[in-house]
Amino acid sequence: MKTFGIVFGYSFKERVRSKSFMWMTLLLVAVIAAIVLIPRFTGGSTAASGKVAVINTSGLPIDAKGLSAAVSPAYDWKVVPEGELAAQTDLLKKEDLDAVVAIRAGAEAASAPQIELSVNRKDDAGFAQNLAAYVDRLNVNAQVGELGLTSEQSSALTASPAFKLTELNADGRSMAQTFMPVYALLMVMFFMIYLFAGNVATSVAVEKGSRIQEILITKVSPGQLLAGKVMGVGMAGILQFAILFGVGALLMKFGGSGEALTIGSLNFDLSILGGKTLVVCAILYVLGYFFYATLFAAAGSIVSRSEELNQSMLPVSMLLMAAFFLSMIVLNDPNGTLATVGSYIPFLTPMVLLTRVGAGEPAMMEIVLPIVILALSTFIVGWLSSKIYRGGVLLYGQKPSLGTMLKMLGTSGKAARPASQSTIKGANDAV
Amino acid sequence: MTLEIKHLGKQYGDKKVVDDVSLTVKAGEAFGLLGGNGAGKTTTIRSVLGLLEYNQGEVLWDGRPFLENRPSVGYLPEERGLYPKETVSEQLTYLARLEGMKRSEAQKALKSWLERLGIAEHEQKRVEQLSKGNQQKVQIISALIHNPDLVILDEPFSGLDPVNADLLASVVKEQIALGKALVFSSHQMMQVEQFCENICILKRGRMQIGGKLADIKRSYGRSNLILRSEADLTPMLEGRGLLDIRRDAQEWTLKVTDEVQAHELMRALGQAGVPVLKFELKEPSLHEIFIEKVGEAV
Repeated sequence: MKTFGIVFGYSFKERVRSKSFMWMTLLLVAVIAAIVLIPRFTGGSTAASGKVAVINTSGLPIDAKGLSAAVSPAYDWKVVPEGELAAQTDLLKKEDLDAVVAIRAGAEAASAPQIELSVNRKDDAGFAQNLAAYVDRLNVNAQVGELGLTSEQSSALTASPAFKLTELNADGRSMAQTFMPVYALLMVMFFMIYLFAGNVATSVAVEKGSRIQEILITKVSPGQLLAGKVMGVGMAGILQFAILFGVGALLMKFGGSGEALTIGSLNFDLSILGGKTLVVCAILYVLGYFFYATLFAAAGSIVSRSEELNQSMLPVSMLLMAAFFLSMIVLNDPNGTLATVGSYIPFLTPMVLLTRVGAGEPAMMEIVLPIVILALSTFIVGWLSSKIYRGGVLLYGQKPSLGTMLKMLGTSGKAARPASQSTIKGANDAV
Repeated sequence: MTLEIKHLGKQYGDKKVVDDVSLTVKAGEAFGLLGGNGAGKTTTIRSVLGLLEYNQGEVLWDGRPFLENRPSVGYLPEERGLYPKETVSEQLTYLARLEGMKRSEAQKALKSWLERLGIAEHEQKRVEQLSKGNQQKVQIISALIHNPDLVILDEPFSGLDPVNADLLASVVKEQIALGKALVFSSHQMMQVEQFCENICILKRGRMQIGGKLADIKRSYGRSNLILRSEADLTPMLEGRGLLDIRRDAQEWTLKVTDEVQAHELMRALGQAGVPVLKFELKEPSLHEIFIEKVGEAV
């Protein structure tokens, strides 16, 4: 156990001190900062707000208050006299205004009013539709008034349809609500497993390629070496995750805009990731990492040089990618048969179950059972991988393939000594 | 502290790479494991260390199965192995700690070894920054830093210049004097003759010859004759049934079938009044024995 601790400490330190760890952490912190902070800084200057001058010659009762309430409260509306059109247009050209609106009466009697909207960029005309609808409504009201109808008649003409939204599955999560946060968790899981479990494979291949393996194996049993390495690198992964999570949380608290994040037009409502999702997520990350890291280690152990690593990692990477894509597919139907069945298949469990917990409503047993199966399979995979590793680390010049892996399973299981331990002689010869 | 290998056998499929190899290495003794390329030396060593499973025989340490009664081992593999990107200090401390040394002990031992081998200034350098000879020294330290009971050196002298080879020779002698059991595999017969009391020569996995080096040599008889003279001895040597007559300037080397033949030659030279400056009757060198045992049917 003591050697395990030393291997663990060494692997952890080696990973944390590596340049790639530092750069990856910095890069991801920068990405998180960008996601959290950019919408905040850019939010004030985009088309969502600004100053608009309105020149109204249509005779309709248009005022700043009405515009603000009916068109967009984000804009600073001011109604200016007709004579200032040229002056306001100059202001617009100098970017002191975001838009100039001229609303005129229709050319012929009873024709609809004309709206002339001038902006510097089309982006600034986001309110055009609302403005048209508002003017249209005022115009209808005015025309209806001129008809001299009774108040019932006029209200019947101008009444809007009643609209009531009923959500039948009130506890259920809508696709829109859950998609982005779960998608983000899956992405992060995919990359974390791929990077860190991949690191284990690289580290194994480097030790083998540099031939230090042969010395290490005389000092530490392959099982302890593998376990120490997988856990050491895994702990470095957890540390990196903690840094990112901590930085993210701090930025959200002090610089962000609450629990909802907006990237472009996509909304992240992080509040749906409640306690249960996060606990299951943490368990799945850890188990998923161990499951794949031991497999990647086995893949790393059968190559002779690190250049061959990609080839031998491919089958394992495919499993990981299959899990990722399936979890994307079942995100649309997290309670369906595919999702349910997939969540029980160990190599799919980490991601598919995460989708189910994040976006669907699995029963408690449907969460616990797959996790138990995953945990057991992780032990089995770890055991098989350590057999492949044991045989693979001293095998050179073989082409890395699934076949080599299977051969390792077949030949390296026995202890490295013959079955018969005959009588003990020669003890007297000891000096 | 004794390493015993009894009837060790290892085969891949039908191919026997090690076949019935037995040897004993005692404390305070260096054992020379010799053989050509692919003779099974490295396979034997790996089997002993449990890096490979073997099919027959047993390996004992102090009379008990080696892997159950595992001594502290210092292993210098034929294929050198170090972490190229790690510093000398970092990885040697790591390797020493894996052998149960405390960090402080390991660092102390590391300092004294680096000084001993004259590479103290490289302590904080990455291994890939060092010359091949210095990497070799680091590798040697990795095998000896934890004061192991059993030292296995596979080709320890390769890559060292004569000065450093002498330095390593003194280290090896010191290890023997400290009472370590030492297994020494080498192609350089000079070094083997210098250190090893017992040897065995492997060929295609089988022991060709084994035992005390002195006994082996004696069994060959003193068949090498070296003569030195300012006169030309060639006419005197011909026609006497002497073999392999070779001349280098003023020295002649040749083979005699037995000592009697040599003495007859000396008498004949004396009677002819030829001035002989040197007359030496020698056992064959290990080099010659090796060539004879390994080279014959290649």
